[in-house]
Amino acid sequence: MAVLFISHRLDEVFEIADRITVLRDGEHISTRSVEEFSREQLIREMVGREVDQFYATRQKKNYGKRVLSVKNLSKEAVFSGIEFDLHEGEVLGFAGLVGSRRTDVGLALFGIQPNDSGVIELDGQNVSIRSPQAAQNLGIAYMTEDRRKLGLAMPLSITSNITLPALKRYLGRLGLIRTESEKSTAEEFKNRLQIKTPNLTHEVGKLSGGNQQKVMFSKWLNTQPKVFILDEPTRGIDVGAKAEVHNMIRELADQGMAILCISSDLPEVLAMSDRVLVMREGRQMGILDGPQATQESIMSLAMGELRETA
Amino acid sequence: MNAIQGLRPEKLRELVLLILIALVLIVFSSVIENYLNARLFNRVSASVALMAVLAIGQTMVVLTRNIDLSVGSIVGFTAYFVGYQLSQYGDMHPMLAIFLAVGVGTLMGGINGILVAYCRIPSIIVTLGTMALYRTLLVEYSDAQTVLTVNLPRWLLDLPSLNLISFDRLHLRVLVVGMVVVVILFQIVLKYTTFGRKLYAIGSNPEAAKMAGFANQKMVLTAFLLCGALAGLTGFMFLARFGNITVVAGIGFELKSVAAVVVGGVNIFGGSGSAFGAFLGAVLIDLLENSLIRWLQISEFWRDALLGLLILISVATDSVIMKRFQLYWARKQARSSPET
Repeated sequence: MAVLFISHRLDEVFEIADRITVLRDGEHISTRSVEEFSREQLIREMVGREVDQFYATRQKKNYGKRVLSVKNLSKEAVFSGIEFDLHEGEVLGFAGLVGSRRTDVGLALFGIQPNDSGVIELDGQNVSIRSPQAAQNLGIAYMTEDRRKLGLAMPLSITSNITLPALKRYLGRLGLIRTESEKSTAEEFKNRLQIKTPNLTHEVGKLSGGNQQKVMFSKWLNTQPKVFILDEPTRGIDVGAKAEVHNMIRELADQGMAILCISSDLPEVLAMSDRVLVMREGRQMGILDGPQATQESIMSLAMGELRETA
Repeated sequence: MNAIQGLRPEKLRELVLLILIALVLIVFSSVIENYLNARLFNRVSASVALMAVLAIGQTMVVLTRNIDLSVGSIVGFTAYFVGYQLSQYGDMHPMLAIFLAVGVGTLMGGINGILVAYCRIPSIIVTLGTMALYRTLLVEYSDAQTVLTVNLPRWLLDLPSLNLISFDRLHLRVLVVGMVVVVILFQIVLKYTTFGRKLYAIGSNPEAAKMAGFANQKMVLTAFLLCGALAGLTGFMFLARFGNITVVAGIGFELKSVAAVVVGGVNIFGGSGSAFGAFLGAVLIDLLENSLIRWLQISEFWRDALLGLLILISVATDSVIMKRFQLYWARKQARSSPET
């Protein structure tokens, strides 16, 4: 029988395959017999592309006091032993392949799928995060990777979507929502993030992907978080919008926000992050600091070569 | 064109309904002699008073992607229950009678809400079940007896013909004013309170609502409680209007309330619509019913057929025609402004 075996688990590939075809971004890169491939070369070809021009690297490195500290965070059968610190003005990247459970860590920190053991410290205080409401009260925001399913209320207006999680701030006398104040918030974000729309009463569902992403970004930014968890912040949006989102993330970090950036786009992780935490199948494989982090080093951790320092 | 595009869909729907109501009035006044008179207004408004209150309760539930088919039975039960109590204790305070009706309705709505929100049973199943249960409860409780007008206190019998203001033979009845208050109140609740906004958010995208930190189950329960409360209030109005209450009281109200809601532009899949729209839906339906029956002299049995037809037409309009229009506008817009 002829078998076509599709995998990113290198051990399996080397064990099972006779020939290897590397595909990247929908393009054929190479096809050779397994003997002609070394592990390192295979990784290089999978990662391939040179870092794009617009992925300018982050310069600023002097971050402030520790905001979030996570110790031995675990959730049974999902992830275990996650440990990291996050400082004011720091961007910590979360890298890993599909099935590495990066998103689940984000969901745990936002109280959607709470952790069942481990310690979360926020500003030095032990906290327990059991619901999104609790997370928001602590100043944590989480922007989902799935804006259609989890992110936006598509039939509602841009304005309603932006103010949704922070609605309490807009209550005036008699407990009624001050729609004028909502409008000015929406207007402010429209200008700041350059959301392209004929008007702010427009249904979010009718906007382009990039603009929807910006609305979602605005929505969580408007909760004025201390810790902002971004899950695939540039998924499914065009190159222009991507660069704008990247600039926004840098700007926020420069203003002192602590950012956790989950992304499967390696050049993006490298460009945005001060440090990169690499996960594989629910386990933390290591944290790469600044210059140590390269596409190759991230990929080899992500594919299961444990670092001694981890 | 731009002004129309800027409108929210529910605003557009309200505008269309107003135009339709005007059209119905114009068309029928040309085919029926002496059509536009005080009698038509008094008749339609007395009937709409009940249906609009019920439809607004239904709106709360439909906004959360659910449906309440038990409202007809709740109306029937509360009407009989309060009527029976009043025939026994004639000196009961009017406010207490209203409170009793609303209380019983809220309780019944609460049972629906708990089963839907916390036991996660689809609302169509739950309320189909309670529709039959509450009706049977009425049959058992009443022992198939009728509440008779003669046994009811005077104030209640006078209530439906009590006018707040009269212009010549055009009367603005107290019950109608009560309905207008309910419409305005819920329009404000839906538009300007966090509760209303959360209902829309949950109906639009329950998962995103959860992410925003909303307690979805509690919200769905509250929607059913409100729907029950308004059905109870409708039951009281029903008692006041008809006096004689039998075990079939309120049968068919569930269909009519759903029709009013759907015709009024409340999306049956949740997330959009308004209290004012549901009110206009109730007006349009009653006006059509009244006018068609007078014009064609068709039997009352055709009412259900009319309701069914209206539901089908409005859902079809929503899903087919509105989508076409939106597509057309989107294309036109794309052509005229390339940068968006």
